[in-house]
Amino acid sequence: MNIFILSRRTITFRQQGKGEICVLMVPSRDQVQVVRDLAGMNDAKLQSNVSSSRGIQLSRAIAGQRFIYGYLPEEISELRQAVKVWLAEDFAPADCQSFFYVFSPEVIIHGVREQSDEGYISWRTAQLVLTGKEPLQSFINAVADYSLSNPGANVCVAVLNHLDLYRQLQGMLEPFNISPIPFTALKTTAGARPLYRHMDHTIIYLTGVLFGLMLLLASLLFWFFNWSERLKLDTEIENIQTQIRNIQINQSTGHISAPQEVLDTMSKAYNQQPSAIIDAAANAAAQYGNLGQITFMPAEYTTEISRNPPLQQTVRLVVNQPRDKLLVDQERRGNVITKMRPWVRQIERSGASGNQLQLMISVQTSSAPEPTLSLIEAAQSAVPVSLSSIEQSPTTTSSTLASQTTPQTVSISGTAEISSTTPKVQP
Amino acid sequence: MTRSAYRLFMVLSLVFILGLTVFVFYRGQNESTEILNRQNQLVRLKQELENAARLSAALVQLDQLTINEQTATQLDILRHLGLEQTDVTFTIESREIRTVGSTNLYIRTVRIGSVLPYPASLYLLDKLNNTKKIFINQIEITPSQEQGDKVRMEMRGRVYGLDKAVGGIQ
Repeated sequence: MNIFILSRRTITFRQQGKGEICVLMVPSRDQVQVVRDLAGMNDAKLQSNVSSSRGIQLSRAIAGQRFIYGYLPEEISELRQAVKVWLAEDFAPADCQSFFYVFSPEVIIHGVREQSDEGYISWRTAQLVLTGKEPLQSFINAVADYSLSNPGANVCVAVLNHLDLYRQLQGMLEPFNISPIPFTALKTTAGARPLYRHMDHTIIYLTGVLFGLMLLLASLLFWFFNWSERLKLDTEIENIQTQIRNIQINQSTGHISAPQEVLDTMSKAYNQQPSAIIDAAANAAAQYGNLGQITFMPAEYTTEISRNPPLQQTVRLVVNQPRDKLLVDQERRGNVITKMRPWVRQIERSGASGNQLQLMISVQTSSAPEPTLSLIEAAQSAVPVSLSSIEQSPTTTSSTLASQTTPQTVSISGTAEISSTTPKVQP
Repeated sequence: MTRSAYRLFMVLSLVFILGLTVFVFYRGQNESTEILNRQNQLVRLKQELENAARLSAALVQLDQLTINEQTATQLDILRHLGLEQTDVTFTIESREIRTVGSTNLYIRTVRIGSVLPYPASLYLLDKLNNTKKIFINQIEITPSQEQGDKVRMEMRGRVYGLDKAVGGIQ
């Protein structure tokens, strides 16, 4: 237990350690002032009204009177530990008439209960400073004097934290039928309030600072992540700006403000090799006889008009010396051709003159659906026919052309029709 | 350290820490605002990059597909089509001007004739078609009077020209 003894304005005894400090005030009788007009004021209001350069006033209101015991030394009020200032008699047991608090063989607080004519009970306290070779003997003499002069009075002797002293006193006080008790066993009088108290706010301050540090850390993380994100964006922006700067603008056509419009206006090449279209049509037409002429006029389209290229291309062919004279034979041959060559979408007989037959053959060129298995087999079995010499037999093959006319490029499912533009055909 | 000094120290520390926290937090908020600005700028730059790339690609494509009208001799057109070292017959049939926006697009209708074997004719046809520098709108293949397996192929198509500035890529 940490104990300070405060007498007048000086600390006469101190036993300091960690934890709360208990300050025992032992005012001298001439030091105590009784002020009536301050009665009823609470301690906080009193301290604000009675501001003095001498320090914090130590007072207590009792029965309508305020007893001013003195002023608190700055040394105590500046202690960081929790402090409570009590009067020494606040620890006196209720049934005792006198007490002796032995803090050391030399420092003893003695108090005697007094009662005035008006019935008011007060304590006369004093700090005994015993000197000499045997201070304890002087203390025992004092106890003996008091016991002899006040027979039957209940005397309390309390010893502070000294086991040897306690045992020594226990033996010495035994003739007076007094048993010392530890000072820590004493409790303050019920209802008594300390003359002064302050708490140890270290934990509160540290908690506040810790909370502030946590907020600071959170803010730092918030700032850091945003900062790193901004740096990343800055780098990305710089890269894109570099890419924009590095884009080479063609100087020859750089003055053209809308090149895409010009491109859209220009006619687009068809999406199949023209050789494949021509050869597919020629291959089909060669089944009718010797080819005499091939005319291909690709369907034109521009992006400006439509983004979808034409689905079919039509080739006009002239066949010399057709094998079939009858229309029904030509139709039968057409059915066989379209069955074997599914990319041939339409065969139209556009006319005949003398020994010539004119055919319009349409070939599928794009947007082909998934071919069925039979069509795939038919496409694989189809052999492109070379027209290396139109005058020669159409069954002559050419490896060069064959590589360009793979059926996969023009394959399509569907049925063909044979239509005649002339009502009658002479066999 | 006395109680009042300790209290003053802790209060000042707390005030300093809280002040620093507020300062750093506002800096973080500024960074957040900057991030939003940067993100908007990034979107704008990406759009600009895309537009620039598309424009550059279109200009390059236009430059490749068209001839320079200011130097459009017959030989230049043959060079443009890659036919300067062949013995094809080349005839310019017509020339017209079409205005697209503020750009004049010159359209020449040309006729190219060749007498080659059938595979070679088709190869020439595909080659010209693949350059995309000419749009072939008519092909006619007829037997040749020459000996062998040669055929006569007549192609008719369009060649486009533009007024180009003299210079290369910058």
